[in-house]
Amino acid sequence: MNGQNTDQDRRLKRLIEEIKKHPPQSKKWQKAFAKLFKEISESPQLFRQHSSQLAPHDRYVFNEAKQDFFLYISEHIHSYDPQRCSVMGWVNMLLERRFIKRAYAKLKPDIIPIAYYDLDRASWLNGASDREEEEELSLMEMMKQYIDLDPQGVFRSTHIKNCPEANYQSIALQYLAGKSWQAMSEDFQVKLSTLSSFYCRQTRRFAETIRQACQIY
Amino acid sequence: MIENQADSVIFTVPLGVSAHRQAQHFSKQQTAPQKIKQVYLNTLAIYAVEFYLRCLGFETDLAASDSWNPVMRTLMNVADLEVRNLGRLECCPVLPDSQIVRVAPEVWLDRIGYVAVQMTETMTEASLLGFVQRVAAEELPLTKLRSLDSLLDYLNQLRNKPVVNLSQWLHNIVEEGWEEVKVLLAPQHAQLAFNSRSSGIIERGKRVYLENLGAHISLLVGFKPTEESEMDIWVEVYPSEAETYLPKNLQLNVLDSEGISVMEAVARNANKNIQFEFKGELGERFDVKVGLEDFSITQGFIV
Repeated sequence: MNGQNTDQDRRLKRLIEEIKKHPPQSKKWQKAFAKLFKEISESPQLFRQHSSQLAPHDRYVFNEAKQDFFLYISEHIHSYDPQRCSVMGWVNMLLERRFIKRAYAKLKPDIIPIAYYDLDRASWLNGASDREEEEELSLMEMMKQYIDLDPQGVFRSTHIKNCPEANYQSIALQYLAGKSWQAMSEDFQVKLSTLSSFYCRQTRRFAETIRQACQIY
Repeated sequence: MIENQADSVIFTVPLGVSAHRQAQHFSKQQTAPQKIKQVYLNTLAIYAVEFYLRCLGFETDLAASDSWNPVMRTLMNVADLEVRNLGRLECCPVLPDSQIVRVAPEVWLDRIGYVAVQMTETMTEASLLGFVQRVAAEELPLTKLRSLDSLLDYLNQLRNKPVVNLSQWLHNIVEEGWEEVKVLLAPQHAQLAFNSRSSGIIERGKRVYLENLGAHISLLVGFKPTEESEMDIWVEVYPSEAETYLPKNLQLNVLDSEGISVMEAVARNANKNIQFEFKGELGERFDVKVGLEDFSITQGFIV
């Protein structure tokens, strides 16, 4: 295989030796493995590292393969035999023959195309619609309506000590309407962190009730 | 960007189809453009941190994370990742070119730390930049982050010394060995323990074996849940069923998150119990140390 006995190969081999010295998942093992991960990820010799002609979808598939590959070697680093080939030769062989094929195979049954998000334009790529089922109410709308309706009266009656206006219903609806914690804190005259921690804990407490009421599975 | 650039390794995770598919699935349950973006970025950030932790041998539990719960994810800006036996790590997405990381106030509590994850413009990669243990503001400059190396040190320190998460007791998630007081204590001790209690409190105890004495004592920890972010906490020790008094010279310490002893007491000839009371901020860590002569046991807690 190519790349035997180059500077990089010697460095990678030393790193693998170092990893093998420590018990798996010990702190020293972790630090050495993180270094190996970085070296391999950034290596110019990595399979398809610089192929700019890769279609975007293939880029994601290749990334999937890289992820699976690294998870694999985190458990099988001992299977590397330094006598047989260079580290990058071994890496590329595994990627090409095993993990890239597997990543494509994993995606085959996926007939619905994946819509990637465009960070710059804040919208979906691939012309996908903004929602999977347009006619349905969004989760947030359903939850808002349920909290507003409050059939058991629990959202209204759960409030911050000595401050009935700062009740769960009022906080949740204002928060979901986009009001800032700072503004709510000033309105209710309650410390910001008291308000947000109250909201967090009560949401966790009510989550199951809300899930069942809105029939979210 | 980060202090100590030389020994801090930024970990860049390739984001594949599965990560994007999950992010798409979660964010398409939303309709507001800002919320769609938030959920998409949060999900990718969680994926990146999960990959990093799994590579390094930490067990994660997405299903137990708030971010994987449709109600929690919709009603709050959450990006938590449950790391088995350690607690929740918040995975905070950082936009390309941004110099700050945003942390929503609703996640300032009950997290073991906050990891900053910077996305590339095309979101094909995400870089773990560093972490902080606690936050108290909505924005944090990236320059304030501690390195990933220290994150590993910190997580390993937690792993070697599992902490008891008191807030989880509210949801009946209880670590092994922590029992209800009436089960644990002998009736005569339980009587004493209940005398001073008001209702609406949560209290549990554990047997602590003192090797050099060849006997155990009972360590009790209780708190009164409030709506405030601060709560009253108490720590007590009681003798075993067979004994009336605590072993002489038994020492009880409460240590703060830096490991500094902030409360200390020693049992004399005829002490039936030792009790400390203090206030703890949610998310705050403390240790309780029980010692007798040259033997001691330390248990970590998170409020």
